Amino acid sequence: MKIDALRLSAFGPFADKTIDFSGNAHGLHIVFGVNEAGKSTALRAILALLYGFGHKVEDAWLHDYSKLEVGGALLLPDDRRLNLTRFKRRKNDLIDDDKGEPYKQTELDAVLGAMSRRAFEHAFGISHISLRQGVDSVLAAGGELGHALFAATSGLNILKQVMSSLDNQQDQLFKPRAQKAAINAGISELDKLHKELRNVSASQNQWKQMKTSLDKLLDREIEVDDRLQVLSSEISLLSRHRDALKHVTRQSQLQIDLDALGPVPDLADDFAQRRVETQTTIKAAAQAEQDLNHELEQIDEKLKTLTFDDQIIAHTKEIEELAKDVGVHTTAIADCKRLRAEIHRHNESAQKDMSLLRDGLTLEGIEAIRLSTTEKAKIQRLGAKYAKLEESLYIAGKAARAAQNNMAKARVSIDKLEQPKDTKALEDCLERTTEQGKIEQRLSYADTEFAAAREQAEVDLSALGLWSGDLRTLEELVIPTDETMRSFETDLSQADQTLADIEKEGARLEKQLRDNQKTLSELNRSGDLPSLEDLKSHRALRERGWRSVRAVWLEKGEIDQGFMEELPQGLDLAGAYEKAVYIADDTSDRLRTDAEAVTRAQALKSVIQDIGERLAANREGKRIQRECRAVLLDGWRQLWEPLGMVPLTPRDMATWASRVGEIKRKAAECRAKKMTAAKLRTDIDRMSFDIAGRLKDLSVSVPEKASYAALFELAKRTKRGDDQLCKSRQDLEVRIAAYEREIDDNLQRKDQADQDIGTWAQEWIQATNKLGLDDSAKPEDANDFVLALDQVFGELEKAKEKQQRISGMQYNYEGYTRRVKDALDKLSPGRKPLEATEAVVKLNDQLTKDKAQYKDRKLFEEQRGRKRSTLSQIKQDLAAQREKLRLLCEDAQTEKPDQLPEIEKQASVKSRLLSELNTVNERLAELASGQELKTFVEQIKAQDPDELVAKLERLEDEKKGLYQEQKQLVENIALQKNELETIGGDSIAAGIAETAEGLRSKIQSDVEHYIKLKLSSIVLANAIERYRQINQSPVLEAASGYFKTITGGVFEGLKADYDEKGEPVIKAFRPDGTPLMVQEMSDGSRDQLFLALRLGGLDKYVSINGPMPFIVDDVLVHFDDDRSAAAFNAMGKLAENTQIIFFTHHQHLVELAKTTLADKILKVHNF
Amino acid sequence: MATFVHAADIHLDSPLKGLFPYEGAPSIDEIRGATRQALDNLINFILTEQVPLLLIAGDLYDGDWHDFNTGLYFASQMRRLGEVGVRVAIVRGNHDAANKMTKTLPMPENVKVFKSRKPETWLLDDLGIAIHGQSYANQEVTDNLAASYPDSVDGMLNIGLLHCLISGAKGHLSYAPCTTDELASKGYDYWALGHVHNYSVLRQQPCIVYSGCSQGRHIKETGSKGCVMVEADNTALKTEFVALDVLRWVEVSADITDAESIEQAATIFGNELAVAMAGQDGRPCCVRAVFKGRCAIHGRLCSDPMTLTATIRAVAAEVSSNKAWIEKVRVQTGPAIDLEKLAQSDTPQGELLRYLNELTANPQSLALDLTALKAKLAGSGVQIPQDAMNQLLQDARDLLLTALSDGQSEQEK
Repeated sequence: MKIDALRLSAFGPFADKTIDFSGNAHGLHIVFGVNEAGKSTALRAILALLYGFGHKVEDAWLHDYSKLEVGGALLLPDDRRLNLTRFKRRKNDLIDDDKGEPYKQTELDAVLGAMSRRAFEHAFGISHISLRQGVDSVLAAGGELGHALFAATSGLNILKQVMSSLDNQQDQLFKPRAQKAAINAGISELDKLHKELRNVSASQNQWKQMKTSLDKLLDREIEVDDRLQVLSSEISLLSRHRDALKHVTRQSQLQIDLDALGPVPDLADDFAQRRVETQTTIKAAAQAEQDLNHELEQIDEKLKTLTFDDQIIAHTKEIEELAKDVGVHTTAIADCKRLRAEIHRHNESAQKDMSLLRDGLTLEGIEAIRLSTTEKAKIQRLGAKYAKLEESLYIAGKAARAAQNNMAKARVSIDKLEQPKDTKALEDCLERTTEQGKIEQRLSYADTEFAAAREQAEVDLSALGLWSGDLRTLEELVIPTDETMRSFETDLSQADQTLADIEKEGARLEKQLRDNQKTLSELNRSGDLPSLEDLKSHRALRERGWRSVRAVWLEKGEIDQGFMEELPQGLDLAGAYEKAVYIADDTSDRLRTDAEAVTRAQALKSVIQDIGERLAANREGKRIQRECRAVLLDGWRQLWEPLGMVPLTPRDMATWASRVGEIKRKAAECRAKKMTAAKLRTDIDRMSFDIAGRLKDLSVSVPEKASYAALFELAKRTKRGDDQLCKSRQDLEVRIAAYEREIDDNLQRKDQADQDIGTWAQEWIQATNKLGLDDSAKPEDANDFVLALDQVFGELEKAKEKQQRISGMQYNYEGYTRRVKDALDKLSPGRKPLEATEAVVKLNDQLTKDKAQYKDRKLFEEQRGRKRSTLSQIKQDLAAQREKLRLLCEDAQTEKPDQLPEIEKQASVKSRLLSELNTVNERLAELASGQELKTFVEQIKAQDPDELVAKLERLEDEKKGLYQEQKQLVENIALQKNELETIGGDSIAAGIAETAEGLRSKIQSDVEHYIKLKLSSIVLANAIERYRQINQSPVLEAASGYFKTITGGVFEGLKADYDEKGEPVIKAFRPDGTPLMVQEMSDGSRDQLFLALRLGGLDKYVSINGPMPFIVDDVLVHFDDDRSAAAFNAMGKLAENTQIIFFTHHQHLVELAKTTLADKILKVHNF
Repeated sequence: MATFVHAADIHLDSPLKGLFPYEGAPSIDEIRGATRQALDNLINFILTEQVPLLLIAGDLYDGDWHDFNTGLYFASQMRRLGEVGVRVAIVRGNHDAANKMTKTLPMPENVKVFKSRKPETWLLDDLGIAIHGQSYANQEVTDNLAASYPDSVDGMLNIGLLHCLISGAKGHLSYAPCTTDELASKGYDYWALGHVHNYSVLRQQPCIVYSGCSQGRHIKETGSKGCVMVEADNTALKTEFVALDVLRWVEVSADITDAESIEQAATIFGNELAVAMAGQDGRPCCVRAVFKGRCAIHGRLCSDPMTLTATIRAVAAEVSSNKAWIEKVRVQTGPAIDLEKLAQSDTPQGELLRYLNELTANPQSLALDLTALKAKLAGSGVQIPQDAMNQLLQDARDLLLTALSDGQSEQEK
């Protein structure tokens, strides 16, 4: 396959950019572009065309994502040309341009060697980075042969890294003696879990043993419990007996004491208490009676000293109310004095103001001129009205005068203004001109366009080449038609193709010839193989020799000189004959021993002859085809002779013709533009004349040779001046009319004001008449008079008001005095008359004193009542207590209260003895525990106390021991139960088992992955070795040749050898045969080695599968010029059989390639 | 009306298989001791519904399970039933017959464990029920036990309790084999069967039912698990399946033909998982993710199982609100490129594929030495998947092609 064209329709920074790789040979195509020119983009575009855009596109920044488009033409091995376009879409993204239908990717994949995108990229692409990586990988593998071949042929430059990574991943999962590797660690953990599981799993036997042990403990616990019960009962009985012993003894003693006491009355427990309480109460009551009688006497004495006036007390409320008003009336009397002084001051002030008003006015007469509110308001209103009337009169007069002055000025101005002219005609003319727009600009633009078009056409013409002449002549040229040219193109192309095919066939035959000759020469390497003809001729020579020997020996004839000349010089006849015999025998032997080789050589010779004949026929065919082509070319040249031209190829001439057509079209355009300019110029002249005429009609002086623009501007200015004049005149006339109207209005307003003032004067006199003012009094005078009058009346009003208050107070005091008098008459008639307030004060003092006496008397009377009542109660209690004491004496069987304490003592002793006896009996009854008391006491008395205690101690000891055992048993049982419960149904083991299962599944998964990795490692290593075995010879052979070329003969080639471990490795060898391991080579030589291997691998691929483009991305950046030139040579060799597209941004590499490679191999595409 | 519950294959305390705790996995506490929780659910159901009889048709424990705690726990649960008068009828199956624990375990009086020497009938007069059953004497009972079961008892509801394989069922060991016709000919009203772990009603008249196991324990036991509630009146039997499981096993397949990244594949899987989880009544689920389809990322999936699994786990946690465990991620996808064509190409990759094809036909030719690994794994229960050699080779192929291709691209970047 060969890429014939790459079309970057919309990709990266490109739009409709095409790189044409077409041509007869495959060739080395250098695509040169400066850095950042889009070289990498073009590389990606090739892959996008072949394999699609993929889901991540980095080239969709200029063109919309959905509009990406890359096209191209692929030349297939069967010479079909496949025109394809790739779009960015999910379906049908690859279109066959010729059919306009989708093209199947699978079909394209077949063309591309059934490789995935990445495999293709690796196999048929190389960059300086991947070259370096490849070298590193080969070096890392120690130059191992299989690895080097595999890596170089596949382009998988990281083979060694992948293998190491596989090994590392395996090691991370499992290593026989590792601890941290995932599987090792997992298994350890699993072991731990299993141990733990065994530990926590309760076995059935363990459970049974524990259960039996527990059951035994439980049984013993029951036994101990039973014995303890028996012991407790025995101990209890003996303890009762022991406890009863002391009570029985005490019981006997008490009985003896009671008998000794004799008859004593039984007194109640509280008898002594009651007797003491009664006697104490009687004594206290007698004392209280005596005290009360004394106190009552004292109270009676006090009551006699307390006296008061009943009347006064009876009228307490009345007296207190009068006393309350004393303060008010005392203040009122003081206020009256002050008010009288103020009334005097007001009257004096009014008198003073009045004297200022007018002479002769008195306080009595003043009321005659008091104004009502209405009258006062009227005087104020008339005063204000007068001021307004006066102002109106003044304003009207002033405005009328101003208007008259303005009118006079306007009239003067209008008289000074010029009379306007009639500019209608000029206006029409300007309107017509304006309709034409900016005609001068249009003219200028048309001129420029014309000049530019003419210049472009002439430039195109001068750049046309092949033909010379002016534009007009060119327009008249008769050029062969497109059909004719296409026909010639097809014919010539076919002729070229046929010739190329013949040449290709010739090359193939020559190669075959060379190969066969080489094989033949190898067969002959050990010396020329003899043929049957050789045997015949050698035998004939031997015969001839024999004949000569016979002639000399038997017939004495001459030596056959011809025979002698056939054999080496210096031999005599016998020697010559021997030699001839030897040669014939040797030839015969060799024919027999090398029969197979001889046959092959024979066959090869026949093939070589056949090829020779076919080559001759091919050369003849080539000659004829060349002649045919020459005839065609001649016809083509004759076609162009009338034009005086030597034509290029039909395709070039078609391009030339289309360019001529383009120039002709431009020439026509040029003419049209020129005419447009001429028309515009005529229009300008006509309009200039028109405007000048109109201006002259208006007597405007027009300068000679004025331009159209100047005239147009002058006309516009003239028209504007006239318009301004008309407008000024109109304005002045309007203003004069307005002034006239203003003067009339103001004169009317002045007359009206005069009339209003007359009417006012009458009303004024009438309003001010009451005040007694003279006629000449102004509104201001009247106002002042009214204000002064108001002040007089104000003072008089204040005096009057204060007089009224004095009268009110006097009236109140008189009423009060009457009330006081009435009271005094009732309470103390004949008392010395006093001022009311003073009398009330004295009366109140009396009241206060009597009230105190009255209150004390009441208190003592109450006390006396209470004490009398208490005394009566005490007397009753005393009688009752005495009766109580008598009854107590009766209980004690005595009449003398004094004997009571002694009787009480004896009764108490008896009671205590009886009580103790009772207690002893009760305790004994308790200890008898239901047994009859008497019998029980008898039993106790019959016991030996010492024996009893000893037995009891024995039993107690036994019980204590059993308690200890019981406690131990309880603890043990609880412990055992706990232990049993721990295996009583928990799920710890189940949990651990579950964890172990989880871990096992994880290890299982790791194991599977480990095996996959291990398999992968082994498979890859085996595959590499297999590949080596199969491909070692052809690839290494080809690579060896390339290596020699690339190193410029510094190395003779490459060969397979073994290292010290016996592993097959690749070695380079020098012309003297010195071998070098990869590790021993310089960096540069290693780069060259890997490139040679890549080229060798491709060479082998191409020879088997046919050509496939090799995409090289600046692979020589680390090579110096000599090595680069050598590399170009090597690539040029490969490029004879397959296309190489070499991207670079280094100009010197382009130049280097041009000097190194033949034109038919090298094609440079600037980008 | 007689009611009873039929359960089987409880496999108490048998661990769940394949649950490895990982970062972000759902809480283990909720599903810890799942078989116990399922038994608790069974007991609680019986107590709540006041069912007087429980039938257990074998395989109460695993044969190789030795923790006596398990038996004691079971006995304690039976005691709970005994306290309210619930009777329990048990036959031993192939698993618990082999377990010594079952022979010495003290069972409360309300529990009847059928003898293995010959079939017995347990008459429950108060319930009007006659139960016929026979335990396995040892693990491998290949005789047809049902054939010698006693005749039905007149006037009572006759129940056959049997751990067996109905002939024709696949994927189970053929123990006590018999046919439904044979069982039907006994004239019983209900056959309570155990051994097959999926609930299935084999025949309606008479009712022949596998209750299935009460809790799924590995990915082969998918779907709802529980017991069967049976209500019988004079005319008919009514059966109802009752789910008891606390964790469900689900296989979720995702067709990722269009996926261009692991993340996209995970998203497609997440959508499928959401649908699957919706039908599980909010239970935690143990999910096996299976990827299918020919896709561009096939090699990536094969060669980087860790990234794939981590991504799937993250998506599962999000989609299921942390209710789903990812048990395993199974890649069953195929490569998008045509490997057959590549295998025909005259390239090293083609050579590699051709070699692999030859190996597939004759895997023994590959000197794969796993002695050390085998020694390490001995006794751990972890298997070396040697019978799946072809699948392993296929995975190795994808792993290699991806490693070579991806590694190269990474380097070039």
